[in-house]
Amino acid sequence: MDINNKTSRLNRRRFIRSVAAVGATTGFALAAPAIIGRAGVASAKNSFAGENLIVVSWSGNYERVFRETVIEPFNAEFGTKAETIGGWDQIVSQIQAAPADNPPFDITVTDEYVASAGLAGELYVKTDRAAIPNLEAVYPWFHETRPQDAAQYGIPFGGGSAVLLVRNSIGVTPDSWKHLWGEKLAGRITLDSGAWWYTLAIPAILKSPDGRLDAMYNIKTAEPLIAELERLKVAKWFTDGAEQANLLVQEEADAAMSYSSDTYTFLREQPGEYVFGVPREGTPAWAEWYMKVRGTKHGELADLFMNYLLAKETQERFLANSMQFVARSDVQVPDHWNGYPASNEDYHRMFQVITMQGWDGIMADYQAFDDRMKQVIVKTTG
Amino acid sequence: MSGAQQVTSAGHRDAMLARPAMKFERLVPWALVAPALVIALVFFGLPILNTLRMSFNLHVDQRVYVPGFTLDQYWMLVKNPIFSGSILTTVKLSLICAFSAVTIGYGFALLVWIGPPLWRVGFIGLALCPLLISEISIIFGWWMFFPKTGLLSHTLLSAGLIEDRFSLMYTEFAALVGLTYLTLPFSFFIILSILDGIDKRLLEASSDLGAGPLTTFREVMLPLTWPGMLVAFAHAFIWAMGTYATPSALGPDTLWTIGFLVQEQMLGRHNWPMASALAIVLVVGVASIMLLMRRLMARGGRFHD
Repeated sequence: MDINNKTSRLNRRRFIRSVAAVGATTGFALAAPAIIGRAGVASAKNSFAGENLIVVSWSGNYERVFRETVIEPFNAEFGTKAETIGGWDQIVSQIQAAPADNPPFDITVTDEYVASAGLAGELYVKTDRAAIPNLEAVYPWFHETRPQDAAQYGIPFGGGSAVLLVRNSIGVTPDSWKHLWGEKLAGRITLDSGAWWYTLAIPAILKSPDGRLDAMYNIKTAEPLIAELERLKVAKWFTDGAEQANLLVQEEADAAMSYSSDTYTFLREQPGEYVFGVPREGTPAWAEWYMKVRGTKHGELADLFMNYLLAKETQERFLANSMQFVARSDVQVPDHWNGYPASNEDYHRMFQVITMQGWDGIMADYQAFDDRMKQVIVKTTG
Repeated sequence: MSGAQQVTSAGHRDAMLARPAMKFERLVPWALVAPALVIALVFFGLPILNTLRMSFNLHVDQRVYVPGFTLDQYWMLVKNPIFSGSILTTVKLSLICAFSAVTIGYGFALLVWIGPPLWRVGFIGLALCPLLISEISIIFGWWMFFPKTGLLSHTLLSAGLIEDRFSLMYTEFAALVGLTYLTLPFSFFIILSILDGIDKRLLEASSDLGAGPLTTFREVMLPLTWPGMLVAFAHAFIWAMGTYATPSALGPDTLWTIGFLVQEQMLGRHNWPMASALAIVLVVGVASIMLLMRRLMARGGRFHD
């Protein structure tokens, strides 16, 4: 009896202990987000609610589309207070000027230029690839066009390119960059003098048999390309998207080397006014990598956001409202995007990025490049 | 103790007592200006010193700067025609702008001073308008005014004064108009404040003594308003020297001002030492103008005496 009673007590004790253990484990699991501060990315819906995240996207039309198709849906899904601010050439200086442990924003968009300068100053944080499962669906092109070391930072979201935009009434089909030197567009074009490297990339593409940009990475080999630009007759050079739009609206110019994010706005707001296209020779382009900024206090939310950037729905929503290209290979292409690249080979054929290695070459002689381009402006303007 | 000794002793005691008082009196002005001095040193002096130090740093790769010491930036300012040309362009543009702002501002201020009270309200209201709008908004306004599809061309064409549309956009004239528009209100208010301190009966007295309007202006108004004109000129000049958005948005492609190049080097090119060297040139230029104006004002004061 005693034995039975003892056994019974033991069983009861074991049972109580087991229940307590299970209860404690369950309780810990449920309370884990609160106890350790964060839940895993997959179960993040509640644990990040109310948290702030500042993301820099390109200023202008891109910023609006990014806010509407990425930021707002992200906040709606996770209850966060993410916001986006526009930026471009000031991004690196802003991070550099801020204290290392208190950056002005948490994530920033970069192209090869902004990425190179930021990496040189150690302003970005390496990506924990395990936290970004959506990276698996990205076209290899994005990693093939930058050094392996650099590819450890950030995630590719997509990219943009230059397109040839011509006023419909001029009667020029935008199928070749050579039209810029033609009689019909003489004195009617506007080109970028702010980010002049994309303008310089046009003769580089035209003169290279395989459309590569290598010749423009050295001031000596770039000289024939610069001389080619000096033959242009430009109505007015623009320094930013707003000025370019203004020049076209004011009829100061009738054709432009336009950028994909601006082009979509022209298409939407002035339907039928312009024709545009990616010329058959290929086009200057950039890949957009979103990078976590050093010192961010929202590292895990940043991971969640970067994974969200690569979600199929996010990519399709953004693509449906832009002329950019996106990183995923399995997206539904909208009707307005004729000739969207269908394969990794298409990416290589259509889009020529100024590589980060190329930027090392350009930056080594930057002032000489800049001076020569200013001479081009003096010779071609008016 | 003799009487003389007593007097000396009393004088010594008074002198001893007066010494702390004199010390205190000497300190009063410093104590009064101390808060402003501290603010000036902390918020203006230190940043300028920091900028000066930055201008000697190195820029060797894609980093915004590398700590070190070099005079390369200043040498570049001298030998590179883009940079040296930008300094001349900026000074020229600022001088013309300051001259225009003072001339137009003087005219308006004179109208307000002489005219009926209603004019005063109207002109002051007009002068306040540009101050209530941001520079970017003002630029957009000019973008709608100057081009061949803009208001100016349309109005002249509609009035039959021209046969074809024309554009003044992206010309030095447009940049100058934009800059003058920005600086004009300040010139107007500075000169008006000086005019308001002048007794209008001086004009009558001058007239009674047989002076014509031009003589009265030259002999009476000009000496009395000279300090205000100098202050207005200096203000407009300094403002125009530092403004980069308006000339780059309205001017031609080749109108590279110092402000534009500072922005370009600082943000676009990530070359902080070069941007700082250009900024130091601006600071030195502005300080020189201030000193020159002080000398001219002092000379004007002696003339007036």
